[in-house]
Amino acid sequence: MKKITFNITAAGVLLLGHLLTGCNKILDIKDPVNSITTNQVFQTDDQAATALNGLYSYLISGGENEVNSNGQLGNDLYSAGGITLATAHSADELYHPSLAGDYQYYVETTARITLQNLGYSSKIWKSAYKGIFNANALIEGVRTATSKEFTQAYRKRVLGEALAVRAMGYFYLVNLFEKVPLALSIDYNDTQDLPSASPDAVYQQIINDLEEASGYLSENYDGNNTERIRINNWYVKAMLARVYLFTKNYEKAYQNANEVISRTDLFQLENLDNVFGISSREVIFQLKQINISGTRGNATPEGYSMTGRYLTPVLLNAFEAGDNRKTAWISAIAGDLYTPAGFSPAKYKINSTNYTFGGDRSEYYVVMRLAEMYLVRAEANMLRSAANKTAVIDDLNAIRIRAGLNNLPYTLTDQQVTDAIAQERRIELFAEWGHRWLDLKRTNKATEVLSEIAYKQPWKQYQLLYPIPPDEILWDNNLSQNIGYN
Amino acid sequence: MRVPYSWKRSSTKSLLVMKLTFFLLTAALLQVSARGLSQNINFNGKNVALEKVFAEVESQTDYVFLYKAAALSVAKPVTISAREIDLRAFLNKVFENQSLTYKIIDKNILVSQKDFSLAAGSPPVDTVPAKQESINVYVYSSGYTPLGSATISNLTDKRNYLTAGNGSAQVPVRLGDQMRISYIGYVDHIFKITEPIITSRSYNIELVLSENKLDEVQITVLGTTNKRTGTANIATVKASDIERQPVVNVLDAISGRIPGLHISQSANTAGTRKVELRGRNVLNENMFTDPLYVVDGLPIATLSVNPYGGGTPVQGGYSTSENPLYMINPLDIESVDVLKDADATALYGSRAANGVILITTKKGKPGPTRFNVNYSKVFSGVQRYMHMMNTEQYLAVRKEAMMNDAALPTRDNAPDLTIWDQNAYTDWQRLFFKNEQSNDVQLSVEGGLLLNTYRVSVGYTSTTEMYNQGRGNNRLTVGISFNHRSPNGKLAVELSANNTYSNNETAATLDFFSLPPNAPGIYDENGEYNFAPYRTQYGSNYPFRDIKNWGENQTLKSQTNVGFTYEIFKDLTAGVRVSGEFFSNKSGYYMPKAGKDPLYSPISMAFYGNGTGKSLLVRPNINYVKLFGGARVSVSLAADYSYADQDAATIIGMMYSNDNLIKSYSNAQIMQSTNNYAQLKVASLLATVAFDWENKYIVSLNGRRDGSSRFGDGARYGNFGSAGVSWVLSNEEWFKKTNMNWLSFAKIRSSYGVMGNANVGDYQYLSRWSNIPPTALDKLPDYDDQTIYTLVQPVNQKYSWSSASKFEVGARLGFFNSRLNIEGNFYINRDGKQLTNITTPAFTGFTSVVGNWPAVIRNKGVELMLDGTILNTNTWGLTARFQVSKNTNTLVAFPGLENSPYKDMYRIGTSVTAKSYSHYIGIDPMKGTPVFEDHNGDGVMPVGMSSSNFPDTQLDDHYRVIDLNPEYFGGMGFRVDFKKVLSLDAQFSFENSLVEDKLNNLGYGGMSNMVLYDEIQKKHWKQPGDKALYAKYSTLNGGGLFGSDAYYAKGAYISLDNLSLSYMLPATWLKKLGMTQGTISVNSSKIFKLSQYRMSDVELGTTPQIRRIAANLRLSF
Repeated sequence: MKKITFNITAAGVLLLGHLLTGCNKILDIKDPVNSITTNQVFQTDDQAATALNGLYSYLISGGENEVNSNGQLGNDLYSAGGITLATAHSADELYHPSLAGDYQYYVETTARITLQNLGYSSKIWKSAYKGIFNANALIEGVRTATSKEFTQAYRKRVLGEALAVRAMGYFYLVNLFEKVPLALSIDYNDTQDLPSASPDAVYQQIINDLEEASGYLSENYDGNNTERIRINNWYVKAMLARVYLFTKNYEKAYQNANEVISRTDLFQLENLDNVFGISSREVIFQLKQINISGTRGNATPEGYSMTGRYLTPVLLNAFEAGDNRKTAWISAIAGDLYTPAGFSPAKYKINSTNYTFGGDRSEYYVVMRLAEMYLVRAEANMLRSAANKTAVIDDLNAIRIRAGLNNLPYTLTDQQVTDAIAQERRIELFAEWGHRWLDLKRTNKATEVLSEIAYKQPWKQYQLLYPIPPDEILWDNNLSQNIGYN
Repeated sequence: MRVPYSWKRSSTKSLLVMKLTFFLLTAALLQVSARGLSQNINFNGKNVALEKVFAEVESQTDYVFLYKAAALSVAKPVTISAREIDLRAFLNKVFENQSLTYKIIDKNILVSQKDFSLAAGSPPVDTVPAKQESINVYVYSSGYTPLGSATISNLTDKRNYLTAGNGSAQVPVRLGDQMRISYIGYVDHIFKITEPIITSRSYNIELVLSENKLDEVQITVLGTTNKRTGTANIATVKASDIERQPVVNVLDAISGRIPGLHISQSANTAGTRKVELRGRNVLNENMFTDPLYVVDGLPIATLSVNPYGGGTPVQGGYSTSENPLYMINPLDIESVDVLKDADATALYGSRAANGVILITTKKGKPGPTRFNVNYSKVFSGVQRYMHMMNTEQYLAVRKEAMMNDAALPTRDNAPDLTIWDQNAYTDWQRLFFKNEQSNDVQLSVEGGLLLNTYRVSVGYTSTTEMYNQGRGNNRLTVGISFNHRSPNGKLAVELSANNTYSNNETAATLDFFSLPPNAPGIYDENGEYNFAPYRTQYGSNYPFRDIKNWGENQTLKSQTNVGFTYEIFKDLTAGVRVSGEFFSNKSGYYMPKAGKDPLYSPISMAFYGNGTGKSLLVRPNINYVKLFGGARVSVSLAADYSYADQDAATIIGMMYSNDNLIKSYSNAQIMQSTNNYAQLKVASLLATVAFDWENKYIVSLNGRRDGSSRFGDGARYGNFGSAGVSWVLSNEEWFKKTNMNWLSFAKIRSSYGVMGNANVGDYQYLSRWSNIPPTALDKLPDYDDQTIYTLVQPVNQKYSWSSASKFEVGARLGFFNSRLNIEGNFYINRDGKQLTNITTPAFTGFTSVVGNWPAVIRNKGVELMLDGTILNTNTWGLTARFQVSKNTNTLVAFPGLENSPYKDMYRIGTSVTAKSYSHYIGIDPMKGTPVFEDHNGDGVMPVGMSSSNFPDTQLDDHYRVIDLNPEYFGGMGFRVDFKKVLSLDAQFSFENSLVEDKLNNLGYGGMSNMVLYDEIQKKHWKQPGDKALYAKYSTLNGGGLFGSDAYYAKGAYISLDNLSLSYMLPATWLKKLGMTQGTISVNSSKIFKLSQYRMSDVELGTTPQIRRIAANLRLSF
């Protein structure tokens, strides 16, 4: 018995010694079973692939598995058609016929966003940043990874796709809010006090990210199958074309758009009914929605949420006679006792009235498509030099022919060409990812156009920016509100 | 039958065989008289063998002889003639000329050879002056348990000595020296050195346990202390007080008895209790603030594995709704110590920031085998039913309300006025609350002699809860304890185990209280569910739809503790304590389709939970005690390593083809599952120095280094410490000289300590990638039909221990030879570096992250205790006790509060639980609706609660600050004894706090029954111009005062929590039945409550309090 006691005492002394040296191992614990750590994630290609799936999953599903009362997955409208919805109402594309009360998009429609009624602006902010956070997590993960089983090739891919997603997030943030903090780390200690960055700095970051990503990414669609549901170099180049256009670097905008368009082996304009389909050759990048029970079924976010939205008469009137897009991409709302008749966008065919759980997904949510590249190339080319007018008109005609319209003559004046580009962008890209709202702002046409719309009066210049969510300013005193909101 | 070298219990009674080789050696030295002998002997015999004499004595008395078979070989035959001679006198005669001696311990007579040679192994340590004689002093307590480190003071030459682990010490003495022997918890023994002592060179003494409250043993850092000298604030409730109460959860038995400990009933079930010691010390409302529960030395681990609770740790892990102490049979508990200040909690360090509740289970007491039976039959009933409206009154109210609202009663908005029977009446309260009975039985066996003692107990409790539709709780507990001491007294081994199986069933809570009195019954005349009268155009309002829902929660828990102590040298002991626990828990909640209206296609659903867990504690320690003149210095060094892990799985099943298949999830058509696992390790190193100078000045210093796996690398360790001092004025010579006989005891003490708190969920520092967020049950959506991972928790590795400082001063006075005792304590606890969820801007990725927040919460309070023995005669005894405490909670510092996310949540200088409310002015005489003050004058009347606790009053009308924390609370009680056989004990608790007056939010006129009809009928608004006290009747929520100050009512109450009357059966009856002790008692709990509160119960709101009355029979054989 003595011996036992001495042994135990000896063990105790050892334990004491262990503690005295402050040895950390004694406190090491097993990880939880339902999660893995950053180290493990970036251990092998397969693990990293799963994390990469997480990046896309958030973009299309907003981190939720079941629709909320708005019929959306989560509150994350950025990733669920929210940008389209909010900005189309802010601009002159969508409206609500009753124009009263507190229904969805009221404040956007009437340009009456206030700090008390933020509309959907705050959700766009939060979900854009969540997507950026997820991208940052991948970027940091790859940059600190040491495992040999996580191959260099795959590291490039993860890094490239994450950088592109971050750039996409900041592109919308800088355009919708302008003064935004540039969070590039997942450590809240580094980011929580950030001040707003200048729009130039944000754009510079977007360009840097995209240019870096472009060096990493493949030019093939090599996902699960040939579906175009993952970011590759073509999305990055298309995005670069757009961003350079927005930052007035027309040479580079032209080059990037041109590169995309010239790959006719990959990309071609589709007929109108198949533009948003899963086998569309016009698609540069689309997101694949889930179709399980409790969700929107096989509908895409916009397919689902555009049902019952009213297109404004001014947009409907802007279509030229014979434009097939007016029939192919617009459907009539019959109207009944409670709702007036009208027209709603119908670029997607599966909507909230005909979706099925587990049903076939014949269309995915298109993020970037070839038609925009034609229009970017046209505009950049025109702005490079009016001498390129012929090529510009050719690009516009490529879009027009597909819509069943006549070719524009080469005899158009410079101003007529510029107007034709704007008109074509308005019609081709209506109710799609905020193009109209962004174009109005970019081309300084917003005040002219929006102050003409009766229900938006009194129109004020400051309404071109959405307010920074007041919570964010409360939690980070270094941020300041956009002028006009108080 | 004789067994060499083993103990024999002779002829007439069965043989008791025990290996007790050491006994003879020591027993021979013992010269202590046996007490309480009253049995007389008749004996007549010549040259009778000793064994036969023994047999005769055994037949005439209930005494038993124990001896080593070989011992009687030297016995001489006895010739004796005795008639009605006292047993002791008789035995003296029997042993007169023998070389044998005897010793009586309880009902055992130990026989041994006279032999004065002492066991080796107690080397003298203090050098002996040449002229002096050295004697051997042997100190022990009942059952020959040697008392090591007892102080032997030579009062003449002022030298002190300590006994060794075997209870003996070599002490140099001179003839005539005055000696004193003292030991914590025992009465001091004073004697003089006489010639026989010098001659025999030995002195043996059994110390007697003190009955004085001051001497009650309390468990401290690595030993024991008492209120006489201790520096710590420890409050103790002993078994004798616990046994008197018919409770299933020991927390109910200590409620109202411990100053500063606030136990509130959140529900009427045995398992759920909210426990808070000295106020809330965390900002985060979701963190539990329970003290650390320690059962037989093993802290109950709290891990956040509960899939529903998410980040919030769950104590014990078995279930959020079951307090871990529910797993212990109150009858197995020897004492509950509540450790309150920094000095008391030093052993548990960082885990003890909320205080410690220490449960010590019963150990075997030495003596002959005793068999105890305890049986209780418990009857439970409702303490007070509410007076509700009858059908006529109810319908009148409803019609008036309809008129006020200018509404037309229809089948949809008022079935009670249109389609239900206008004359039907059901008293829903009495329909659902059925009186129930419970049974509680406990058997225990204990005993053992000298080196080995044991206790085995089995308890079974079966309770049927009143509001549970016949569903009940069962609990089976098995407790085992065994103690061994090596013959040389150097090694002590302690083994104990507690095992519990419990099965608690629950039923859905139905809102019976508010059902209209003419509401149709559960079943129609055919015995089918009565759906039809409850159908409306939009759906079913059938209020009994959940009547078949029920839950079960089965837990199996087993705890084992082993402790070794070894005396390496005199004054130096080393020990190790190992405790382990295992539990498994299985729960289910079933929601069958039955009872739900089939017209609205209900689905059946069930939740299943499975959990297992284990914890382990290893605590090696080394203790050294040394006397330096009048000072006794003890030094302890201990390490503490605890490990806990838990596993939990939750499964949700939906859509069963048949309700009978609902208990297996494999029958569900849709199934979802999650599982979770967490580990926790805590390692500490602790050093304690205690200094005691002649029981006058006592200082205790504790320093520790704690590490916890709750923190990330580099933030795991923290250094903490505490110091306590006490000054016993009444031990000062000058004090004694003042001859203040009325003031018999005076002590002041103080302590201060800084410790940490790791009150935060597990793995919060970890980068966690998963497809399921920690708090969610749903998986995140796949992408491209492939599994995804994403970061589900913000990463902050920089947070570490929060800091908790505790300061306390206290004084204790004893008057009239400690017949009246007063103790007062004042404390200030400051909790800083708050570990909480810090709100972060969403652009950081998450809207909150766990971190340290620089807020400081101060809890300041006073506690006062009084106890007194008013009468203490042979016929009558009367003791009384009283305690009260008051705590003030204040947020004292919060740097940057005005710019922080918390600026509307907390206010510096105000309690962290306070909120601000609008001010209710009265009923609008024209409209008959409540009016609230438009404090900011913006023309908008505040309605309801504002979204934050302290809105800017410039923008908001909620400006009246109300804190629901009690103003003060406490308890009192008394006990009357009559002839030491009949005793009556009563325990009251009281509290003064504001409570939600649910009545004020229930407008009269809705489709629900109400209390206080007479009052409201008289004083409510009827027509424009009425100056009414209550709003007009309305089917809309007209009376709603929610969010205003009028929603809170005075909730002061005094409750008779426990009343027990017990009667000890007379000895003559017991003898006939072969029993040693028997008690019959009637115990009751929650007998009545006096309160201004107008609803059923001030603590439970609309649910009535349950009164329990137990008939109890306790027998010992």
